Amino acid sequence: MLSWTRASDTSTGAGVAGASFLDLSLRRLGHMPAAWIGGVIVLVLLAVALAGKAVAPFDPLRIVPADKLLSASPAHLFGTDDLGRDLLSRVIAGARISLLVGALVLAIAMSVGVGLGLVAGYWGGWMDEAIMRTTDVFLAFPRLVLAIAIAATLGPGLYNAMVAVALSWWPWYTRLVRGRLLSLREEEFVLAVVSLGAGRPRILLRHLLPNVATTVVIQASIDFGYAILATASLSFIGLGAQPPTPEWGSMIAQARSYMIDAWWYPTFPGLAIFVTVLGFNLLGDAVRDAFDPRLRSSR
Amino acid sequence: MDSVRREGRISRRRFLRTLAAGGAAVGAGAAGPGLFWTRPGSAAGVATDTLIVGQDTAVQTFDPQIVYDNTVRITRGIYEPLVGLEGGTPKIVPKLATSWSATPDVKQWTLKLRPGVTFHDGTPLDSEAVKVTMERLIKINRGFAYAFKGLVAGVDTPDPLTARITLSSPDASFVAKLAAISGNLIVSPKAVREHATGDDLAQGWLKEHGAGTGPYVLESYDKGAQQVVLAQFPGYWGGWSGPHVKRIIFRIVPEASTQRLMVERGEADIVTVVSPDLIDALAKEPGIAVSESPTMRIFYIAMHCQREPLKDVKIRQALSYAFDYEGAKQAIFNGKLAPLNGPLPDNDPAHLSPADKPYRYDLAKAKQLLSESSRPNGGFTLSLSLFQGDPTFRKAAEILQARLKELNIDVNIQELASSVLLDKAGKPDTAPDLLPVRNYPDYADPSALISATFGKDAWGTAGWNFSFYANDHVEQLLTQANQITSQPRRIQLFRDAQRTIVQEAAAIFVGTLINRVAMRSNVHGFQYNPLLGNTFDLYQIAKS
Repeated sequence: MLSWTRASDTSTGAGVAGASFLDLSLRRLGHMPAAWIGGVIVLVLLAVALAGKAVAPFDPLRIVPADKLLSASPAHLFGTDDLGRDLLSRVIAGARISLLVGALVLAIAMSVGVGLGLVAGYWGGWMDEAIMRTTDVFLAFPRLVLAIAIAATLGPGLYNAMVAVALSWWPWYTRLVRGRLLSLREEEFVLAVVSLGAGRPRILLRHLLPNVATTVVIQASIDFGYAILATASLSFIGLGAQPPTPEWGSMIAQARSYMIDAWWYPTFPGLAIFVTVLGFNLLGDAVRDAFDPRLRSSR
Repeated sequence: MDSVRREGRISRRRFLRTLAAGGAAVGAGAAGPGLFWTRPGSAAGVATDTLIVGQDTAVQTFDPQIVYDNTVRITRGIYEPLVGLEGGTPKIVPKLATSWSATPDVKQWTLKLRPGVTFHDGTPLDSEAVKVTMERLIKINRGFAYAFKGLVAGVDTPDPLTARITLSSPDASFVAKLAAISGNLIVSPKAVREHATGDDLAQGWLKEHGAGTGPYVLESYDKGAQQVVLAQFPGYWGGWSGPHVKRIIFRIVPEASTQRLMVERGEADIVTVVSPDLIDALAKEPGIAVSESPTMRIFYIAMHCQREPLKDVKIRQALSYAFDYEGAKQAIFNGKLAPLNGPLPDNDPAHLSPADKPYRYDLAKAKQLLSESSRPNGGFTLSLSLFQGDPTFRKAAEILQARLKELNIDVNIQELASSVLLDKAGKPDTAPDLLPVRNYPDYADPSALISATFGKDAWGTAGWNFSFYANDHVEQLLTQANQITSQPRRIQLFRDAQRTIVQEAAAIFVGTLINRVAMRSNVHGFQYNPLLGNTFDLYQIAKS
């Protein structure tokens, strides 16, 4: 956080005394209703995911054949599934899985994407060409179709699905970082450290990386929901989480033939995905608007 | 960069809108299904001379010598076998052959053909057709060809209405094999000759055309609309005097809930979904009848007998005690499941009695057996593969998985498309440790199911032995049984073989399915035979 603030200061030349870019942005964020709604949803999700079994009324894997497809009731707030498992407990267990999925997908996509973006944007030349043409190849496919193809090749499984989504995601970060770097590397503060004789790794890591971090973090906050949704989609078509993992997408896939007689079975996992993705999008949207440099310059 | 970000924003807004709309739809769905689905009362209905079937399987080919999946439901309307089965019984009755006899050593069979039968292309049925069909089946060597390959030495045609089949070894159950669900469905020799490309025996043409003697002609196959239309063959030898339908339309709809809606709304007369929960829901609705008949389809979980740790018979026995049979019967089949005490179902004369199968759900016993095994404390992981999209397999797997956890055994489940899974499970090296699967006898003889499921020549997809079980004693008993004709003695031998298989726990025997087919209540003449898989007699069906 510290380096982030400092980097932003350097990029703007001189910050307003006492009110850094971060402070201003956060203050602006506080005035956005969307940010509050999104923030609350995300916080609740985090709390539920962390508490996990402590708040779940039952073991999400406990099979009770006699309690099959019970409607929502005080004993089972969300009802039960086709093997008599408590749906509320399964949806709660699914929260942890989904947050982990979002985090891991973005971690993989960002580490690959940002690294290659820095290399392409700073070195330029043939390396830039090679990297950018590779991203073009990846971007030529619709993201989900590419993820399906990769997941099908790797074989069904939650980790393979995450890798597949991440692999279809990294080129966006590469493009973002490279574009940002192209303008940054001509900035005076960079030229200054170059003239002082700083080595390339130092310039990249100490001076350029912190400057693209804001952009990348904002993009990631928006992408988080999509990453969860994409992985759930893969699970829905059977390429992701395998039974008995209480992953939301696979729960809906198993529930879809019960849509008519047991509406609660597909509905609650579906609502869980809906609320989660909505929460992360509202928050990501607000963060983006609050930190957008163009908004800042227009003030 | 800007353009990328702007795109990002637009698509994000659009995405949020879509999400909101989706949320509204989910909310409305929660308010009650009535908003979305019209109930059966509003059924539009179909003309009474047209039957619409919700078909669950996409057509790969109509070739009578190749089709081995649920498309036989259609091909058995276009083509006919030499001999049939009476109603729902295993009794063999005349079809295209009116009589048959064997030499005393059961090595040569002579069949008299029905006079006055013509194929859809106008060719009269003669012994040449029997010869062409049998040779074609063996040459193409797919599906049911395994029952004839190596067995049939030659087909002679002494006169146009007599076919003589010579076997390389005695086979008392040969006519039963001719009555099987697929394989020996007689095809027009003229069509095979005229439409052959190179040496493909007209496989290319027969993929999308029909040339049989059956009551129905393949009128059209629309790949785009996924619809197959059969129309009455005016020259059918059986005649059209009784109650029959004029056209049969198969609409290919693999999704179970869509099939359910079709029959509810009267857009289909018969649906072929098998999900027990859906059928139970349909059974409660007015205007819909559910036909229930016993089957010979056994449901079991194959255990890989050639790979550690399941190579250890104690561990396989422990697993057999760890399966919750009663819970599975309720959770998966809503109680509609017949017992299974060994490889053969109770409606086979050679079936075992409950006393022969010691396994019932008993975790203490399972733990004890495990402690006597090579892995006394468990602590290993078993792989289990599932045929994608079948909830009965998935639920059986999850029930086993949950109980095995208590024995400190992990089960790693992987759902795969059936073609991928069959490819993997076909070979002992790549097959999963556990595979929930179904099987049914291809012909009316106890040997059919036992050797296909647990015979050493039937490993993987060579037959249906996904346990990769092989036992010399069992093989000896089966060979012995095929060489004699005394039925009581044969049954004794089959029972001995089964007792060994059960004692060695080659599979977890879950139960025998009950065939339940949902149809509109104005459909009559629905007839199901346990030996004919999932098919039903199209000629007998009528509507009022």
